[in-house]
Amino acid sequence: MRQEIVLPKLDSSMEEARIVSWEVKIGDTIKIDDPILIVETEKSSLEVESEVEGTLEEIVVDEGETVPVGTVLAYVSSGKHSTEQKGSSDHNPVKEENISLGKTERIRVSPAARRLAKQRGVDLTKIKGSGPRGRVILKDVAEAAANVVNQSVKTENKVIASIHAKGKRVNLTSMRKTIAQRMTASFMNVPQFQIKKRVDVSSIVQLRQAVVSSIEHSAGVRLSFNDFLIQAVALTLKKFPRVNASFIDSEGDPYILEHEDINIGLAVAIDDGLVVPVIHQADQLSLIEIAEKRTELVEKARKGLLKPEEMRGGTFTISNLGSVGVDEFVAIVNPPETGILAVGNIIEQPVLTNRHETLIKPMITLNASFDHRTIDGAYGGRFLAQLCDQLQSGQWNIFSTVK
Amino acid sequence: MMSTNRIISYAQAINEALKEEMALDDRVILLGEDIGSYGGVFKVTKGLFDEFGKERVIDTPISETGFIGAGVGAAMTGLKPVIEIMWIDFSLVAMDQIINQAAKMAYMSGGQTSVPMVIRTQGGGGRGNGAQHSQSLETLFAHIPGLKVVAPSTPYDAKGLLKSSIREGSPVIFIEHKMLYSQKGEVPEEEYTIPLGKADIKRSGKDVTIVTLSRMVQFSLEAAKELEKEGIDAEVIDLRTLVPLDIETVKESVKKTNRVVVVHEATRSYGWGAEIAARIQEEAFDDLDAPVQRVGAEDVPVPYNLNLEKEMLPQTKDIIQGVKKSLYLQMETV
Amino acid sequence: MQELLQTYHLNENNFNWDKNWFIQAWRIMNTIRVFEEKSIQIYKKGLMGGSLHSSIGQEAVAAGVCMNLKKDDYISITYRGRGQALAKGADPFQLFSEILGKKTGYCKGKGGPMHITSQELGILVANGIVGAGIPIAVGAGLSIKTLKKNQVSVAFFGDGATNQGAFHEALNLAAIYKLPVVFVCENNLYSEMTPIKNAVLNEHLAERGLAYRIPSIIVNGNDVRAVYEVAKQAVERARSGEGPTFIEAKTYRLLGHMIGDAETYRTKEEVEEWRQKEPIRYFRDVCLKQNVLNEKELDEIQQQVIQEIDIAYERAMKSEEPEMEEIFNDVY
Repeated sequence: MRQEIVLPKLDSSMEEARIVSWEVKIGDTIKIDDPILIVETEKSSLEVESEVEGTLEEIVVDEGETVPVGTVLAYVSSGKHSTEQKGSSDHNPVKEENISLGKTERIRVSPAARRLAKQRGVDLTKIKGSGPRGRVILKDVAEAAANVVNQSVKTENKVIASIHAKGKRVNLTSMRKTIAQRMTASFMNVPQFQIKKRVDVSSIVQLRQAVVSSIEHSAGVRLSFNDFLIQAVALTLKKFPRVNASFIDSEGDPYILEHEDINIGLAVAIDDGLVVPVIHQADQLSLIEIAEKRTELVEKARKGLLKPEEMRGGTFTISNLGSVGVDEFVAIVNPPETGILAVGNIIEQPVLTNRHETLIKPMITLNASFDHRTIDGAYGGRFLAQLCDQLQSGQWNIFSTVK
Repeated sequence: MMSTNRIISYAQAINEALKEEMALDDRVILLGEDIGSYGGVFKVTKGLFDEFGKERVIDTPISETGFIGAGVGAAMTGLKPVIEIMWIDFSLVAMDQIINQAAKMAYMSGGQTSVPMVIRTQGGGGRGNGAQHSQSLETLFAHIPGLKVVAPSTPYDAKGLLKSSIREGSPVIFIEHKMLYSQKGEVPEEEYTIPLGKADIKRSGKDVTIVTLSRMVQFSLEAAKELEKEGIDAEVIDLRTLVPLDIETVKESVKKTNRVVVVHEATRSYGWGAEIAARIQEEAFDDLDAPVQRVGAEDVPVPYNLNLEKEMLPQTKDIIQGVKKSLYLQMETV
Repeated sequence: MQELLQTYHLNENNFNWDKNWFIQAWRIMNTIRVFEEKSIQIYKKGLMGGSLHSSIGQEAVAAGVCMNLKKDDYISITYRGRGQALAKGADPFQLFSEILGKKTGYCKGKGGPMHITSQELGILVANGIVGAGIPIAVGAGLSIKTLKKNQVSVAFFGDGATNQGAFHEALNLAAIYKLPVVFVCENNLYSEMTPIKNAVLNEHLAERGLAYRIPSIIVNGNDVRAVYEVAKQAVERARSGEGPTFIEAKTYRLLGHMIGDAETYRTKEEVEEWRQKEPIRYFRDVCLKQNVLNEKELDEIQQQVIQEIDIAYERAMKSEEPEMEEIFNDVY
C-alpha cells in the first residue's frame, strides 16, 4: 500500500514551508517518528517526523521548493500491508478496483488542475468542477486545497438547491468564495461570544485635531482615527496574551498558542469583497509608522496589489464601519485569531458624568467577538475595559515607541 | 535606447529598411512589378528608383514565376534580391519557384548554395479587395522547410525585421499587411535590427495569453483593453515570425496564465493556430487549464461586400469571445 | 525578323581541325556515355533510389556547349543532366557518390541523381521540375550583368520545357534585360512519354525564341562540331553584352524517359534509325574520315575512360554513407 507524506502544519501561522533538505532517500526504510526532512517556515527551520512507516518510494517535492501545508511531499510503500494483500490468494483487489472504476463516472480535469491536485494532495473525486461539463479546473483545486488547510466545513448545498428563487444568478468571484468558506468555517467551528462597550473618544479627537496637520506637513502622512485604534488594541493585547492567541484544533490534542508577535489586521472593503491587510508587530510601531503602513496597505488593497505576505500572520482584527455611518455592529471572528473588534461611528452623545452633569461627548461603540474556546467572558470583558482605558488615556506613542 | 524617436508609417519604415540596406550593400537589388519610378502600388519603394537607378530597382513584367525564379538564380550567384510580390495572392502562380526551388536549394546542394532572397508581399483583407486579393497565406509558406516567414505588426518591427531578413542569407517570405501601411508608430532614427524568431510581448497580463501576429495584434490589443474593463488581464504575444517560431515565449506565458487564445486572420481550419495549439499541448500540457481557443476567419473565400467581409474576418469582438470561452465565462456548447 | 531564326549548317572547310579539340570532344562524349551506362547498371542492381533518366544519345549537345565554357560560367541543368555536369568538368567519383547517396557526393548524398550542384564548377542546380531551371539561369545572368562580370549563364532544358510558363517568362526577362544567357533546348523528340509533335504545333522549337525576339538557331544536336560552333557564337554574344541566344539542338533520346520505360510511344525501327546517327558513332566516323584521329587513338581514349569510370565507381561504392545528423543540416 502506498501512503502519503504530507507537509504538516507545524505552527498556527504556518501556511507554507520551503523544503530545506531530505534526510532520507528513495529506497530507505522509514519508521514512525523518524526525522525525514527539514523544512523552513517564516519563523524557523523544523524537522518533520514521519507518521507512517515503510520504504520511501517517491519524492514529489524537491529541495528548495516552497509548498503549502497539506501538499504531498513523498510516497511511502508499506511492505507489511502489501504482503497481507498478496497473502490472501482468493482476494483480487485489482479486479475489484476495475469493477468499481467501471461504475464511476469519468472525472474531467484540466491538465493544470490535475497537476495541482497531485502537488497538493487533493482528492479529485471530491471536487465539483466549475468548468464546462463539470470539468475540474485550477480554481476548483486551489479552493479545495485551501479548504483542506482551513478545515472548513461542507456547505449544505441541498438547502440552496431547494430555493426556486427568481432573479439574477451572480457567479462568485474567487474572493467571494474564499470569504464564504472562511466565514462559514468560523461560524460553524468557532463558538463565539460578544462584549459591547461604549467609550468616550474626545481625547483622541482633540489630540488628532491638534496634531494632524503638522504631522501631515512634517511626516507626509495623515493620522486617522484607525491608527489610534490600532495602537490602542496592540498595546492592550500586550497585556492580554490570551486574546493574542489561537486555538489549535490538532486532532486529539488541541492546544492554545499564544503568539509572540502582535499583528493587527484591518478589514478593508473593496469591490464585492474585503481583504484584511496586516500591520505586523503593531505594538512596536509609533502612530506615524502605523499611519504610514496603514495608508500603504489600504491603497494597495483597493488596487488589488497586496502581496500574500501582507495579508498573512494576523493575530487580531479590527473592522471599522464608522465611515459608512454604522452606530455599532458585531463581527465574526477571523480564524485562527481569537478576537475581532467591530467599531462603529463616532457619535456626539449625551454622557452623564460622575457629578450627574450631562455632557455631549464624541462616543463610539465597540463590539468585541471572541473565540470561547480560548477565553471566557470575564477575561474578554477585562480586555475590552483595558482597551477603553487606553483609548481615553491620552498616552500615545506618536513619534516613537516606548520600548 | 531610442534617443530620437519619430513617428512614421509602416510603409515608410519598410522603405527606410530597403534604402538603408541598399546603401549598405551593393548586392541588394529590388525586383517587382511597378516598383521603379512608380514607387510600388503601396508606395513602399518610393524614391528608391531615383536614388539607386534602374540597375538596382528593377521593374519586371507581370511574370511572377520568371522574376522570382530569376531572383533565386541571382541570389545563388552573388546578389541579394528583395522581390516585391504586389499581392500575396500572386505568389501562388510562382509557387514552384518558391517552394521547389528557393526553399530547397541549400538542402539539395548539400549546403553548397544559398538563396539570400526576400520576397516582400502584402496580404490580408479589410478593404473590399475580394477573394483573390485579400488572402492570408502565411501558413502555406510556414509549412515548407527552408522558408522563413515574417509578418510584422508595427512600423518599428517592420523595419527591424526587414533589415534582418535581407541579411538572413536564406529565403524569407516577408508578409506585410495592406491595412497597416498607413499605420504610424515610433521608429528611431538610428540603425537597429530585430532578430528573426523572437516574439514580442505587446501587452503583459496574467489571466490569458493571446498569440497572434500582423494586423491581428492591433485587434488583440483592442480586445485586451475591452477585457480589462471586465477585470480580465490578457497578455498579447506578437509572434512576429512564424518560422523560426518562438514557442518558448508562448510556453512561458502559458505557464503563467494557463489559458491560450490563438488569433489569426487566415481561415481557421489548418491555419497556424492549429500548430500553436498542438505545440502547447505537446510541450506545455500540464500548464493548461482550458482548451486552446482559436480565432480565425471563417472557412470561406473572402467576400467582396464590406459588411460580409467584416463578418467573415476575425474582429475584436471575436477575440473577446475567444478569451471568454477560454476563461469559461462563455460556456462552450456541448 | 526572319534573320533572327536560322538553321546552322557546318561548313567543313572553315572548321578548325585541331587534334586536341577532337581528343577532348571524344573524351567528354565517351565519359558521358560510359558514366551513363555504368549508372544504368547501378540502377538495375538496385543500388540507387528513385528513377534514373539517361541522356545516352545526347552527348554531343552537352559536350559541344560546355567546351565553350569556363569554369566560372554557370549552367542550369535537368534531371537528365549528369552528362552536362560531366561536360562542365564534374568528377565521376563525386557524381557516382551522389547517385549512390554517399557523403562523398557533390551534395553529400542529399541531392541524388536529379539534383546535382557544384558551386565550384558553376553547376547551379539540376532540376527535377521541367523548365524550372530556366528562370534560375536567367537570374544568374542578372547577377553577371549587375555585378559586371564576364561570365555566361547557360540554361539546358528539353523540348517538353518549352511548354512551361517558366520557360516563356524566363526568355522574355532575358530578352528585355539583355542578359548574358544561352538557352539550350535539347530537342530529343519526346517530352517524357509524349512525342513533342503531339504537344506543340511548331516544327522548330527555336521559333519560340524568336517570339521573344531572341536570336534563335537550329542545329544538328548529334554533331558535336556543329553544336560547338553555334554555342561559341552564342557565348561570344553573351560575353560581349549582346544578350541571349536560343539554340535548338535536334537530337534523340536513345533510351526511354527513365530506366524501365516501356516505350510504347515509338517503334524499334525509329530507335534503330537514330542509332545509326547517334553522336559518338557519328563523331568516330568523322575523325576517321577526316584523318584527325585513328582507330587506335580513339580506342585508347575510350579504354582510358572506361578504366577511369570503373575506378570512380569502385571508390564511390566504398565511400561512407552520410551521418544521420546530416538530415538537419543545410535546411536554411
